[in-house]
Amino acid sequence: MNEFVDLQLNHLGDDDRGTARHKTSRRAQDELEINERTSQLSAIKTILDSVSDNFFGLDKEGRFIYFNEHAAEQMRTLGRDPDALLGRVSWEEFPDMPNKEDVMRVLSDRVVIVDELYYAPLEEWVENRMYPSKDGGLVTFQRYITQRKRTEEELRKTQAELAHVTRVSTLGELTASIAHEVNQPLGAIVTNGHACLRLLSHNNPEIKEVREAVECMIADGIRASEVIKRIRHLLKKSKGGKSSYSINDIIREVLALTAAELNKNGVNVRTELTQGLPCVIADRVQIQQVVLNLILNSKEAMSGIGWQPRELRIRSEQAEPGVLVTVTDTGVGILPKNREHVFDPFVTSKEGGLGLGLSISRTIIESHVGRLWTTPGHKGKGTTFQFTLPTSENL
Amino acid sequence: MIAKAPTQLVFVIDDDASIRDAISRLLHAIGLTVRTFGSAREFLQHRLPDIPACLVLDVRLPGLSGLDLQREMVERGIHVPVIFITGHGDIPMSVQAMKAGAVEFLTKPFRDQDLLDAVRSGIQRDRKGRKERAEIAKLREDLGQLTSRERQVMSLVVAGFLNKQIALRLGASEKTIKIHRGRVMQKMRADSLADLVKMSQKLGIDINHTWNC
Repeated sequence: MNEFVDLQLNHLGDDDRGTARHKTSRRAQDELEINERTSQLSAIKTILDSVSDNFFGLDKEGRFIYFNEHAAEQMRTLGRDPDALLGRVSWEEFPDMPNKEDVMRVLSDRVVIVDELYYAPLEEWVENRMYPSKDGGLVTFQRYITQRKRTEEELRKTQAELAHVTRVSTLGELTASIAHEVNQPLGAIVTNGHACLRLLSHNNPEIKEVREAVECMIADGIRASEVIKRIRHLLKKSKGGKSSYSINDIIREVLALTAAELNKNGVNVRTELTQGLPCVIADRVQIQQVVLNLILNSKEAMSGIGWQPRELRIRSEQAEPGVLVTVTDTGVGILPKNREHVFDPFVTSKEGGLGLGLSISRTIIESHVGRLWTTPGHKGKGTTFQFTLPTSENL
Repeated sequence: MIAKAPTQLVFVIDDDASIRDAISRLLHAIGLTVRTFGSAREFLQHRLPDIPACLVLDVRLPGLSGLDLQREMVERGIHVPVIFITGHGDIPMSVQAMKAGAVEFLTKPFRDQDLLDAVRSGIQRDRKGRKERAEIAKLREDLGQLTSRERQVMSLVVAGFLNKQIALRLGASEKTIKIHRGRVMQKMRADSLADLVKMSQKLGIDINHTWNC
């Protein structure tokens, strides 16, 4: 039996003696009660030892006062004798303890803390639930969560893969427009090159004209490479790292990439990007994917409205908290009964569409601790999509 | 340097300023005068000078597309020959353009010689077209001088009838028909019957119309 329970037993004994009455049968009765308590405590010990989680008790000085059987087993795995550890200060015995600060906070501030950490000597992820105990110490429930972590990581990877695949297929829709975007400056470069040759073949070549042509060629070369750069940005696999970016830059870059496609479809674009917004904490590629998705959905929604004006409005503004991005179109709109289903996977109105765009967009925004939702567009016509993202100021 | 009034013109319509300027520079390098426009609408608002010209037109334009403009020009009686340029060679589109009378359909980036050849033949075609249109206008004016009787005589003459047959048909004397015929030749400034037949062919529609007069 370990010391924690012993202490309790002694304690109980003291208490009983203090309330004892002067009766001859008293002693026998006391013994009976003590036996009863002992068996109760033994039952509790059995229960605690049966729990497959680790259960530790620390006193208010941070000294070990209790291990259940699994916790004791863990100590032995670490090459320590659990009985010898009792009465020792936990963070002195384990200087590499990763959650020392949390433990001290529970002891000093008397708050419940739940943490998840990787404990290298055990090669395991653990979740610690630490509760302040009535005697000024703390009780820790510790559970191994390596398997859950692995599953979560796999899920994250799968989602990232899926996001990448849909991003690639979305870009596929843009291929014709993007090819046009690259071909335009190339066409201008070739024609300017021809013009240069013609100018230079004159008896008195106009050097000024030639220089102008060459300057245009350089500018167009840069323009073509910018398009390629933007595509490569989007095709890159997200590494899952977040950094701070201007939401307006992210929107502008996607707009530059989709300009030709929108133009081809007769869509007018109106941007109302608020200047001086705080930076968002985001995975740039993923947020671009969301913006790209919303823009292409809007374009699609407006392709079937005949001669009515096709207008795409994109606004960015300060929100409480974070920033708010609004994408509004004058397209066919979403039926009220479908509104809550548009974010479900495999729900699509597009022929040949996968129906993953909005569902992935929502997953992305939620993984950024933001929200993505839809409302009817202006005067009930078309659709509005809005999302929020936290900024560096409110994280 | 004194700006000489140009004797021929090339219009360029492309919404992409780089392309527009590059084409303008190339055409300018071989001594052509160029006017550039960013949209079809802008071109339609421009007063076209009365000199031979041709139009280098981008297929894909915002608003009124290149093919739309080609149709619109036909409706408005604008005869400037069109050379289409496009970013991607779309066969049905080029067929449509050529059927509607385009001079050439070039895919960007194009060889400068191809564009210059097309522009030359475009201007050539316009020059010829303008000459023909002027000729027909003159013939129409002459035709307007004829009395309805003279028109009747003219249509029968060019249809190959002899004076005697015409006289019988119109219920007049052969002598009277001879006089009418002389006036027709004079008013139409025709040197011979063959000449008159050629003229009537050019005026084809108008002649048929006079049958019912």
